[in-house]
Amino acid sequence: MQRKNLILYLALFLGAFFAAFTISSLHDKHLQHEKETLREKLIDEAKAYFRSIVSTRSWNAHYKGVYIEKIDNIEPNEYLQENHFIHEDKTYIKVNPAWMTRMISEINNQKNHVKYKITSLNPLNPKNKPDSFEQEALSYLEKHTDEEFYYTFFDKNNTKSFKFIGKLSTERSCLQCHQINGYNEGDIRGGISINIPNDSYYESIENLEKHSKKYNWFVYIVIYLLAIVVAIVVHISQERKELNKKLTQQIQENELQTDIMLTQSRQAAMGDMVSMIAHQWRQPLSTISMDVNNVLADIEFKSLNDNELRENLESISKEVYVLSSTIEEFKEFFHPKNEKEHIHINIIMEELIRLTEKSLQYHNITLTKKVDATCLIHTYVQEFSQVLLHLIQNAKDALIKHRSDNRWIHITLDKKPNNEIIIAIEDNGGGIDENIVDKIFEPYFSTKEDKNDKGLGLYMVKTILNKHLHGTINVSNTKDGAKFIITMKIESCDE
Amino acid sequence: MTDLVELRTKLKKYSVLFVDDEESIRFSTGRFLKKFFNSVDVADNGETGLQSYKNHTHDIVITDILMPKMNGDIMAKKITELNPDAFIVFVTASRDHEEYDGVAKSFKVTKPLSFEVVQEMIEKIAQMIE
Repeated sequence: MQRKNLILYLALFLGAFFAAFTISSLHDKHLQHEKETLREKLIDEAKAYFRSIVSTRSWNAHYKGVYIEKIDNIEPNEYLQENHFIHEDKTYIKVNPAWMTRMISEINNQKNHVKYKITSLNPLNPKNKPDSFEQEALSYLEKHTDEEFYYTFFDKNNTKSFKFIGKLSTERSCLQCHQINGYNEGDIRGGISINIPNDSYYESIENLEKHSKKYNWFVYIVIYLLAIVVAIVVHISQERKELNKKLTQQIQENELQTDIMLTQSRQAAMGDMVSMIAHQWRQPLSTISMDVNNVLADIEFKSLNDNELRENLESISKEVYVLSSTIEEFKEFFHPKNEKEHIHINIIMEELIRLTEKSLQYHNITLTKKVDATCLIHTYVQEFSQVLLHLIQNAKDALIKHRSDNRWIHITLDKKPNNEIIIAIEDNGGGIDENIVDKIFEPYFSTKEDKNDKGLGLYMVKTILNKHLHGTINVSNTKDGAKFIITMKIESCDE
Repeated sequence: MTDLVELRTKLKKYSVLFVDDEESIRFSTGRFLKKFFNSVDVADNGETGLQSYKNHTHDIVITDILMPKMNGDIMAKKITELNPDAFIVFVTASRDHEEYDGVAKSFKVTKPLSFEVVQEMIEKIAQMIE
């Protein structure tokens, strides 16, 4: 049992661990996915910037550069051909896509959080020189011609940023400016570097991670608590099962004990019965044997005559019938029927007196009865008779032990209005020692010296009365003896 | 085994009192005793037995022990008080050895009396009465 429990709890613990692990790793996967989505969003944002810049540049390139009125302090671009013209006193300066990009980026970079810059490994304008990331990115894109973008997430010295470069390839329209650099159509010429400050992104990630950590703890704790609850429930239910098993076992043992006692008391009752039969048989046996002796003596004296022989044989026949009917009566009386019967209570009383009469007479005991009701009762007759018989036997034993003359047993039967009958069995056999009067109904308690007496008689009387006959029994001492009083519920008492 | 006929001749002059509370036993035993003794009286308890003895002073008293009103042993004691030489045979169902106080001449047989036991009883009476 202990071993089984240990295995069970271990399985429960491992199960909980795997469940928690599975849930948290699923959650981690989800977190990873969330992070990915956030990255995708950043990348998409960068791509959108890039494309919009490229579109603006295409527009510029399509018109082979645009001219803007010279304001502020901008000067014509020295790297461009036909870099300006003057019309009606105003100077118009040519702006090519690269310069336009720079100018737009300068405005943008002042106003927006997203910064971008045009750059090239081979810049016409030294201001467009690439930084280390840009150099790395452009070199990569030069090698991998099928890729359009290069990006990386920086996390250095507490500054977290997302850097992105989109590739600018050489188109026909570009060559008007860039032919001098030796570019061919399709060559990589540079890129737009986009720098998106991504505090909010990392904040979200951090939040997600923090949340995820909390979530994992929560999952682990909840699952372990559940496992503990399950373990406790299992433990309690096992305890209860164990307890129930023990209880059932005890009940079975008790029932067995009661069965054994019932058997023992039946055996004792059987012994009583045999002794009563012996008393009943004494007279007929003596008569038969004297009848036989008469016949044998007549034979010896050669004086046998038909009349006397017939008389003797008729007497023998009569006594044999008495023997046989005694056996029948006892058999009937002690035959366990295990079902209730309808019987007049005074029939039971009379039967009882007839059966005990001889053995009581033998000990000079007078049995009297006073029955004030002739109830038709519905009960277990054999068990009821056994109870009364035992009480009479008990009285008889007390009388033999404690009294030499004027021995008597008196039985009374009264009816109460509330469907109860009261049977009192009183004797003048000296009564019960006050010190043991509380114990006489306990099993294995006996004052008798007979070693065959197991001390179960009164216990069984009480048990039978309580369990089968809806009755109770009490005892009290009278002037000269003891008085047992049985109170029994009966279904009805039709007189 | 002594000849029963011989015993009958020997005992024919004596009178006997038989005391038992069972009518059928009184009848069958009385009938048996009549085959041996001169006269047989019967009584159904110690009291009537004692009364009968007072009237007839039987040579032999054969009695049961457990009886209503007066037991055989009490009656025997009272008879011995009247006549210290009284001869009493106890017929009892009990196989226990019992001493009967205050009775000088007596013996005991156990019921039921088989033919063998009853012959022994008659023989013993014949021996003791002389």
